[in-house]
Order: sequence, then structure tokens, then C-alpha cells
Amino acid sequence: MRTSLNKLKFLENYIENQLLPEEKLLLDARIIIDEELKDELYCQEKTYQIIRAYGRENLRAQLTRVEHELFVNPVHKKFIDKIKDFFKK
Amino acid sequence: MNSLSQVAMESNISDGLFMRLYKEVFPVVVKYISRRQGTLEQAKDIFQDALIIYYEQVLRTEKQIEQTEKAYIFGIARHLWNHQFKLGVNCEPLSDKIELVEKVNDEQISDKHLTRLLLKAGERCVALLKTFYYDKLSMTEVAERFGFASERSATVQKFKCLEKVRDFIKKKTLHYEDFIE
Repeated sequence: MRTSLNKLKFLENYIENQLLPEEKLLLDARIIIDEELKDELYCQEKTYQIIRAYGRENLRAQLTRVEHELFVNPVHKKFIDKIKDFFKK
Repeated sequence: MNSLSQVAMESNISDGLFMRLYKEVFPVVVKYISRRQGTLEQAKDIFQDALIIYYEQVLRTEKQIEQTEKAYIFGIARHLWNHQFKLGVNCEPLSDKIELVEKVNDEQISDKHLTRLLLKAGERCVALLKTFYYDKLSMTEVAERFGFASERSATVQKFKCLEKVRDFIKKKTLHYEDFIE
């Protein structure tokens, strides 16, 4: 892999706590003095957050689709009537 | 191989499995919430959140659980209900509701901007990243699903995609208000 990709991999291992203690210590120190590296690390962490948020929203869309199918398809009418019965006073 | 849009949307789990969980577990959750003066809409929201947590904690990692699936999901839903409504903590995003769930972000990133930002890296890239980092498939499975010859080439591609998205974020971070609401 090219250098920039290896750097991403190295930072990923750092974020996931997979570096050796001595590697982590060295990187901790570099992050303190190297603003650019600090920014790169911040953006990489942000990237993972956004990907995970996207994954969660996709899953929510899938669940909404399943729930919609359950509530509108007449095949499930008996089941839905039972559900609605719980809310009858 | 599946079409790209299918791959991008798919979780690890089929609609059929989720339908089965709705049929088996939703009634007990509804019963619990209705008896506590909750509404059907609240029950739907709580159940959806409970399934997301179940997916993230159990299904995608194939973790073994000691309780039955039904008891486990009901337990999450009950916890969410008690936390959210009984304690009067209404309508917070999933990430803030429960410690069990990894916190997504300090800010609420808008879906519209988020998707636009991610899709700049290309649909295939986004699907690949989501499959690895969210659905937690192994690199061997990712390689197979996306038609790579080897795990190594899939790994290289994963980092290229990650770099693309990271670079967009790097640029955007300078104007962070552009993609938060």
C-alpha cells in the first residue's frame, strides 16, 4: 500500500487500541507536537462516526420498511388488530 | 453479485428475519407500553430502537446471549421505555438515550448533508465502508461480497475509500457548520 494508506491504517490501529504500548506512546507524543497529525486523527475519527451513523440510518430505513409492510399488508391484518386491541380502553 | 444499490442498502440481516422479530416480540413490548399509558407510536419507536441495539450488539457480531432472543429484545425495550418516558427523558436521539449504545456524535449531523458528503466518495465506496465498519463483516466476506480477488485487494480498496471520505471531511471541517444542523 502507498504511504498515505499505511498512515491511515496506522492511525486506525491507534484509534482501535491495537498498537503496541511503545508505538502508542510514541504516537501520543507526536500528536501533542504535530498539529497536522492531530487534525488528521480528528478527521479520521469523524469519518468513522459518519460511516457508523450512515449505517444506523440505513438499518432504520430497513426497519421502517418492514414495519410499514406489517401495518399495511392485509396478510398481517389479524396480527395488527391484536396489537391495536392493547390500546382499546 | 448484487446490484450496487442493493449492496449499499443491505444490512447483514434480511427483511424476513426482522419481520419474524416483529411478529414474535413486538406484541410483548406493546403490551408493556400500553399498560403504562404509552401510545402505539411510542411503542413503534421504542421497538425500532431496541432492534437497532440488538443488531449492533448481537446480530452483527454473532455474540452468544444467555437469554432467549425474545427476552433480550424485550429487556432492551423495557430499559429504553423506563429511561425515556418513565424518567421523563423524551424524544432524544438513540445515541443519547442509552449507555449500551455507542454514542454517534456530539452534534446531530443532518442526514441530507451526511449522505451527500459520503456519496461524493461514490456509492460503491460508501457501501464497502459501511459493510466493514458498521455491519462488521470480515475482510474475507467484504472481498467476496464486492467481488475482489483477495482480502488484500479489498483491504487496499477499503483504505482508498476511507481516504476519500476523510479528505472530504478534512475540507468540510474548515466549514463544519456546512454539514451540521
